[in-house]
Amino acid sequence: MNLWLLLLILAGAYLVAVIENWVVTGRLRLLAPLLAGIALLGRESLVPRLPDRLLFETAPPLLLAAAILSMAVLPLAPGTVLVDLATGALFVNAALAYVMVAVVMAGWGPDAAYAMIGGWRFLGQLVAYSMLIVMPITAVAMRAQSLVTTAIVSSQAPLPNAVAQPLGFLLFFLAAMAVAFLPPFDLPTASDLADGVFGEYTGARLAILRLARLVLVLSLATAVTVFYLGGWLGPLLPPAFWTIVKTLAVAAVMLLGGRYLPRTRSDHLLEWSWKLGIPLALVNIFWVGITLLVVQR
Amino acid sequence: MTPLQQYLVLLGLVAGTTGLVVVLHLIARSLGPNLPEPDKDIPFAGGTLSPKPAWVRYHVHYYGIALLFLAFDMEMAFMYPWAVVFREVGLEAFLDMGVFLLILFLGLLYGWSQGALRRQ
Amino acid sequence: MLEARRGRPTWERRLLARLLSHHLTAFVIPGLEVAHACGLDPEAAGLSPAATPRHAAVLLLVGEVPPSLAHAAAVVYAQMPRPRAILAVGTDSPPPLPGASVTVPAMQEDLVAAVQQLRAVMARNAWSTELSAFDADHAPPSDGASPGKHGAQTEANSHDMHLDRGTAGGVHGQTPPLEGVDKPHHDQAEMAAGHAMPPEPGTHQHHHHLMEEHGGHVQPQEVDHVRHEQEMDHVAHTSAGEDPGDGHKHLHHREHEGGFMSMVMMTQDLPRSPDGLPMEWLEVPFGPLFPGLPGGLALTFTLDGDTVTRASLTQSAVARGLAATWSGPVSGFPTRFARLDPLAGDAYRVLAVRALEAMRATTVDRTLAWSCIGVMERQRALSHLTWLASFAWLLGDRWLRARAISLLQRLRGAPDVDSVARLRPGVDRFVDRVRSMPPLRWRLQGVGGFEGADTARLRGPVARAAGGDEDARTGDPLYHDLGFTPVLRHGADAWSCLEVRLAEMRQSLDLMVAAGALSAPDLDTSMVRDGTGMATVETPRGRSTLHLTVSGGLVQTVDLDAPSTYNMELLQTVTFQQEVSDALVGVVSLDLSPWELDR
Repeated sequence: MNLWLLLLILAGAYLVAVIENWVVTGRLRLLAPLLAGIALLGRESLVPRLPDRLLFETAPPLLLAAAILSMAVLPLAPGTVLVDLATGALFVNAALAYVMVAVVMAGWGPDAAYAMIGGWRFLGQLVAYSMLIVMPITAVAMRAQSLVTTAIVSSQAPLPNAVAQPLGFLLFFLAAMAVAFLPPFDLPTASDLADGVFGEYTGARLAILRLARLVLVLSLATAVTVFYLGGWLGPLLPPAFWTIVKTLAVAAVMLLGGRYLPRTRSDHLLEWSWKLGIPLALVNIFWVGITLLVVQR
Repeated sequence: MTPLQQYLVLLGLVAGTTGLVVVLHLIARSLGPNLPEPDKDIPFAGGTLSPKPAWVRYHVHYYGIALLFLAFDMEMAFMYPWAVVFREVGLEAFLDMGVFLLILFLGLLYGWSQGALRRQ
Repeated sequence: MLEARRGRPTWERRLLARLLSHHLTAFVIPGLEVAHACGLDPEAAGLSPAATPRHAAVLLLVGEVPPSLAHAAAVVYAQMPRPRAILAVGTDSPPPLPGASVTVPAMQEDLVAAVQQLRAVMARNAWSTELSAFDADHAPPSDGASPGKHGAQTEANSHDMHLDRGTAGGVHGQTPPLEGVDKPHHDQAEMAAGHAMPPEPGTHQHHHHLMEEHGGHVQPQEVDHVRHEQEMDHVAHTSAGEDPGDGHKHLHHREHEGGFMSMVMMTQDLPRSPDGLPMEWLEVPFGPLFPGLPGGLALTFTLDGDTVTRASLTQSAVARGLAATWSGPVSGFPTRFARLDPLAGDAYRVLAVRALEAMRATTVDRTLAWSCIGVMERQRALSHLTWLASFAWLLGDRWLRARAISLLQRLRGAPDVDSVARLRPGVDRFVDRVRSMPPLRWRLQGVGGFEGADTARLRGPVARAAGGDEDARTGDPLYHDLGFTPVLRHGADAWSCLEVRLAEMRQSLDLMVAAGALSAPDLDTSMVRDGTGMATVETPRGRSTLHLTVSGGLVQTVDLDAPSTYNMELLQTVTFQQEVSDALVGVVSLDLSPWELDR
């Protein structure tokens, strides 16, 4: 069963690639990402001169591992989860922390100016999004009385969290886009920095980085679905189907959102996140606390 | 599954990822060696050859916010277990954590007033 | 010819080559805006533009590649991973670049056919056993580049080559011999005016010491650093390669000075940032071939973290020695003169025509005057749309870029004034939508500001964005008849520049329709008398004045006043203490044309 789930993760990442292709080019081409990925393996994999070899080589597999690990604790259907960890919601956040480590490694490793600027920008982005990921998860865990992801989904049976905790939903959604550095938050891989941290990678390593990014988008879309949209809950159709549909819908919205907006300025992102985002997240926790106390009575 | 087994599965996932990466590298390597050419490995610098290293003491401008972030991160570590037992304990839990959050929020406001929450 | 990977073309490699050939990304030389200005759309032809040569498979040469830019193009080509190819459109591949795989004239249909042809070539030849390494330096230095600069680069190259050949046999998979302890450690910093060079004996001792450690391996960074100090003493330097938290730092310094060195002593020569911290500054080139910036603009930023503390432009990146070509028979002069700026060729053609017309013995030709207006306004609208497309690339706004390019193609392809009139509502909706998007306004307001600048010294939309009533068209009676008033804004930042250009685009369409002509008839140059002539037009980038002297039917002297030389003065103002993305936005909103800056 575990192997099937892994293959499903890879298939999901592929579907996210198809959606991204559709958003960028406007055409639905089912085979294009696969062929592009294989073609990428055919190009030379260059190493810049005098890199920090350890960081340069470790960054792509680390990004992929972080994405897959954060995906592993999220359920597809009741009982269908790779690892039903007792601290599932916390583990998602812990795995996502390594995304930052991988991106900063990729920025420092090649000893190139554009990559380094991109890497340190992403560390600033982490300071901006990190609280906005954690606080909404806390509010969700308050309702579910547990950090187990399957319990969080079950707790949404009366009402999905997106409706019960709309503020948390909005903040988590935006913060999830920032974790996956999707436009308009694509600061580390900016087109005005010659592709930033991804700029010095070619060939197989670039293929791994792109795959890792797709899996990351998928895992964040799944996290939004599990924590806020009620996971597998839905009438008539099988639970796994609902999870998949909701996840792909969230991924599509995340990818579409960036098409129309210019890239944020990194200092604006930090300011808005800390001056507006954190107070709203605290308000969200208070709101959830009060409603849960009242309902209990 | 016991927690230990679960973590072993996760470790296995990491090993599997590393395996996948190694396989991709081997496939790429089997397709031919790289041709060593001059200037090929100089990082792109807009068409100039600028082999100056970039590893300098980099001046990040968000250190004020980063320090506040440390404080809030420690708070979040406390909030995870609190969130799980919140409904059980009830009003007392709400008040306890409310005071903690309020203190931190006042710290945030203080930092804001002192200009910590902007580009240094 | 295609530069292939080394290896025998087995069946799986041939299959992979077929796949490779379908996904071609292109790095455009000198820039995507030149391709758009020539009427080409590489994306529609199947070549998606790349932001870095590492992700590109094709080097797309468009328009004119002057010799000084050719060297930079060769460096970019050398940085592309194999298999790679050159596609030359409307030009040929200048040395030191290798010959183009496919060469076609500059038309969109030819480009599409060329891409198909290139795909076939790549599918056949992506792997090959007969190869030769490409060396970007096996060519005589260009005429325009300063010998000192080129010499520094050649020295740098030779040292890099030395390093590469030392590790020959596959860069991939081999640990370079310099790692760990061997990171270069400097703490020599130099400020622009006033600070003395670091003590020479210390430098040599440092070099000596490191040379001993590595058994004579020359470290390219150190040599470059020394050479750069000698060559470019007017630029603020950074110290390089300190790895914070690395214990080896202390090891080196102990051996360097024979004792403990406190942080205060270590950082005493470093420049201070506005918040008082002494950090190391990097000098990062953003040109001449940086996607997003106009091609040929050799910009260098001195970065304090990600804040720009100094911006400098190296001139002569696109020097073409055009002045010599301008003198000659009067009849072909407008066409020769239009070569000045590929981004606004028609504008300069109109300028030349008007200057020559001022010297004609006949009365004023109203038809010619109206058609000059039509051509000028068409060029203005096209230029602003091209600028908007590359501005949107820099901002990362895909929708804006896609819409700007589609409007550009529709306007360029409009055969007559009626079809231009039909475009007007679409342009209106587009401009209104762009102006009403809050995220774009938040992104651009306050960025790249030049509030206190003297608007009398500025030209074009940049001057008008600061409230300066500076427009060469206000004095023209024909424009006055059409009820023309210049578009003014007062924000003096990137958002105001954008608003001015959008409004001018709308206005230009109206003026084109009112003028009733889209192309100028040829000027009858037989009636041009000897003497001097002068004309001023408002090019898309600002007022430009041309003084001509003609004698014996030949153009003798040409004196041109181009707007970008004036707007260039804002470079420091617009970028000082801005974050690097904001600085780039500021530079692009100035809409400098490097082709006008160097001739």
